[in-house]
Amino acid sequence: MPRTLSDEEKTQVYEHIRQFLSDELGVPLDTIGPETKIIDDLGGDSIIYLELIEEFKKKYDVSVEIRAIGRYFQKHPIRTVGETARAVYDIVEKGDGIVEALD
Amino acid sequence: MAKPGVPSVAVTGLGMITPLGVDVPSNWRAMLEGRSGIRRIRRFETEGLATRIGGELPDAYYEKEEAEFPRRFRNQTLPPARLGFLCAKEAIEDGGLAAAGYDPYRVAVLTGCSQSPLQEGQEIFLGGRVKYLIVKEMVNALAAWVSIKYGLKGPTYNIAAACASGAFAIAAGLDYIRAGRGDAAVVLGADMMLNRQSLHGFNELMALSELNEAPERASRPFDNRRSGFVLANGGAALVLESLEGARRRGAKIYALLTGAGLHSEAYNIVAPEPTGKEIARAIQAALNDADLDRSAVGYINAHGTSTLQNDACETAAIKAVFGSLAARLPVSSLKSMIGHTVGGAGAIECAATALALRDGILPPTINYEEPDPDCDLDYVPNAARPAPGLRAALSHSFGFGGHGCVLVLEKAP
Repeated sequence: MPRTLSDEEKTQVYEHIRQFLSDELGVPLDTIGPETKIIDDLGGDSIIYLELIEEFKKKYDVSVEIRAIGRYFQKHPIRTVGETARAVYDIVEKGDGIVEALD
Repeated sequence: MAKPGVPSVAVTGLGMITPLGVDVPSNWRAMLEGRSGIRRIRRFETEGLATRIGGELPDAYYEKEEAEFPRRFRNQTLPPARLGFLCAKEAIEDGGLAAAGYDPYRVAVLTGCSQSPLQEGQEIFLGGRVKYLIVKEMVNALAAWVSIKYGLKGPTYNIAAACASGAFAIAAGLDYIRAGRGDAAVVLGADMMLNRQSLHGFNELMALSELNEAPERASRPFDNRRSGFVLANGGAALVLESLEGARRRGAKIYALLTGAGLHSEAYNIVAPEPTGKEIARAIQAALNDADLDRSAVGYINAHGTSTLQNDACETAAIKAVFGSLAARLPVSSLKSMIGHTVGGAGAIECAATALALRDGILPPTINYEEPDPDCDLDYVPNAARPAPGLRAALSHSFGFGGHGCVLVLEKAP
């Protein structure tokens, strides 16, 4: 079901991602900004994106097929924290609609 | 020395973690003091098992693991990958490899990890994060992590040859550099097989000592009252590079790695060929590969598991190759102190052999008390021995399945 995230919710998502990366990768929070690259700068891995998406799907009760997310990532490669946050906004706001949005 | 036209290979970095210590200096000191790392098992329940002793890693290892790795790395790896990684880290830092200036595409990471990830994997289905199942369980994980974290882009893979895995990885590194395919290699062996399942499995094969009341005396290679090996956790890593490259950058050189003899017995999935003739062929092949006359060998770091069969067969093989020289050729087994670390053993023993050559001193076989008529060599019993004239030494590794690897090391020129 389509919905719109408020600016406050978007900030929450972004901060949640930063905190998650800091905890998982043992990197100080203040070194993580929107332009920080998750793999190159933080030593992360590609599974992290899926984990973050899973968390936000649960939190915002979004139903979206994992394959749709895969296709979304192919069209919108993400590397940075900011890009990850934008992907989460898209997926939460459009749900299964992200596939149509791609075509 | 190397044959004409073949690059000589130097050992320029070492890392080691065993029940005796969490770095090379502490391990080497303990080995020369003849200390045992075998204790009653504390880290898991041993109720119902015939063997309740083993070589657990010191508490300091687990503190190191906690301090070194972020949560995510710990969640995504199994214990042998973390152990092997920390061995590699020490070797890479010790050898100054990061600052050596080698083209990363010409540095290999070759690991010998036998089986433990597959066994640990059983637990993941019951509880952990299934998301990491594949990356945790893959037996190449250790090689991949070392490559990723240090940006080493040469060939990176794992070799599984049971108790000889670590030695095979070292032999592969030797070949890689000798063939001119690359300049350096991080080679290592590591296993963490000390768990209920492994103990039960080896007990069923009657391979383990059950001397639970005297853990420190349970591993007694070549002794007449030996009754099986003692399972342990551990690993070691070596940095190998061409002697030319090592000299050019002024690296410290522990020893030269000058040959390897690899073979398969094609005999039995568990038992060694009883006359030792197949092991003898591996020893001879290693000497030929190093272009070394047998009379030059001054020490053998034995596979010496403390099983009835291995120690007798290995002794017979040494006598077959060295003839009348065998009686005066010192042979010792580190497994008397460490226990058997499976994939780690070949690397730990090769590293210790390099240290023996550097320092001119032989680590002992502890718990050697009662001679066995079938094992009648000089096993360097119970106390380290100075060997100032030591020029060349062998390191033996043999594994279930009939895999064998004999490495030749020589004193750095």
